Amino acid sequence: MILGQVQIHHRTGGGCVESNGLCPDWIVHHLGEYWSPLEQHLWLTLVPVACGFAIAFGLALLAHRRRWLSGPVVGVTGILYTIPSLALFALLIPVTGFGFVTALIPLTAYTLLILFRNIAAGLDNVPEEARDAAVGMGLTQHQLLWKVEVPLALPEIFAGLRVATTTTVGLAALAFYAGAGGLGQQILSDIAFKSNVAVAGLLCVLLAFALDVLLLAAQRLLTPWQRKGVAA
Amino acid sequence: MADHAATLEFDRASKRYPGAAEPAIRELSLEVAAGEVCILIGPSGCGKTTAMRLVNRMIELTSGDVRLDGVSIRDRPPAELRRHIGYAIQQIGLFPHQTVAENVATVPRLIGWDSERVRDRVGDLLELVGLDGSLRDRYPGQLSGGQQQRVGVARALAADPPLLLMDEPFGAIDPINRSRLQDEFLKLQRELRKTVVFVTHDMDEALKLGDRIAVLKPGGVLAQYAGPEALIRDPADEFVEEFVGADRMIERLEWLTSVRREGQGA
Repeated sequence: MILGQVQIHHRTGGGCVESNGLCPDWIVHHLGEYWSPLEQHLWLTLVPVACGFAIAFGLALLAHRRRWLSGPVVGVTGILYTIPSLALFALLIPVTGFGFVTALIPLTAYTLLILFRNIAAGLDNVPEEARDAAVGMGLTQHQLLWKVEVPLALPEIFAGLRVATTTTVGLAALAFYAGAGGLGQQILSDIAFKSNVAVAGLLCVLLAFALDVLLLAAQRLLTPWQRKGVAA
Repeated sequence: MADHAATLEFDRASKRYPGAAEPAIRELSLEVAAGEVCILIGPSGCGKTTAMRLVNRMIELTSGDVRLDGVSIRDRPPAELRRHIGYAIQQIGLFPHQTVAENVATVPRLIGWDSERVRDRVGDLLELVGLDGSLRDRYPGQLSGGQQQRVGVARALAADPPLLLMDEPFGAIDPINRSRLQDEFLKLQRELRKTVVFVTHDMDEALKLGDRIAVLKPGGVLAQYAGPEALIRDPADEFVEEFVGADRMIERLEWLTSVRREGQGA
């Protein structure tokens, strides 16, 4: 199945390429071919993390009210996390076929454990006295959640999002197996050629880094009380 | 500033926690007149905090009643009731993610004041509790313990509630600052004339701040409810006598006169 997707490239252009080195000229000339896989890779990261966040957030809110739910949720998402991604792709292909959805399901499933645990921990770590004061001043349960508990959980929520995002960038490199493209597909398309592998690999790293920096910036913006010199 | 202070009445109020053999509060009856400071005091486990939390339904009554201006608290939805009762606790419970101004504005915003009115009110309150206006955009983590406590008091007073509940509000403050905060409290109270229910385990604090003092015994039984002088001169039983330190009656009375006068001069 994999071999079917591999294309043998006919490389031309000078001694560097023929001797399979790292070729700046070749890279500059062929960089354009990487934008589309990079964009696919971006979506293969953002969509699973967004879906995973929505599901994990909903589950964490439920478990916040009904404590007994927490154990089963951690158990199930923990099991999901241990299934090898290639096996899960293979299991899904007969059901959902080749393509984005088949990649989306496992990638989303892998974010659940870390996101759920972090969101739940963030909600639990809200200082008891802040909660008591909030209720004592007449906040409803709904207001307590959205005005006090969720904002105070933001640092842990962002920590979870950062780990989930970086991990998903890595796992999305295997999405080619489900026929969803991405930088992994690009690596595989000419895996014997060092320049190709280096560019695609580096773009993976840069993507993970850029998304992490963006999340960190968003966190700083949304949690002004945590900035240096502000925290107690 | 205060145009209204509430009367508060405990009427054979009892609380028994589910599964507990003995009640935490046993048929507590006492009245607090409008504008008076009522101190709840007793050893740990006497139910003083429980008694206070019955008033704003943070803990629900098992039997009996608590009435605010003659209206049973059972007849008011908890959240609505609490928005009209100031609430200050020892751990303060400021919201770490909100500025001083946002913290103080909590209840006014909940009850729908417009932003201009809220802003003016926050300014007035910070001045009232002796905080510099430049602190309004700071976060609680940037304040000293004493400053945080003042913000906590300002927040409790924000919507001008006719009744204030204070649970050991100065308990976590060092002795020197505690004494200053107590003096400020007396000065503030002379100005505002709120009805206050104040929980403490510190008899000096009770004698200094209270108009009337309810001494509770373990098991949630009211041992005596009287003014500070009466408590020292005529303790109802040995428990109160020992708790008040009435064996040193003369010293106690002299001390009482001095701290009360100091408070007035503050």
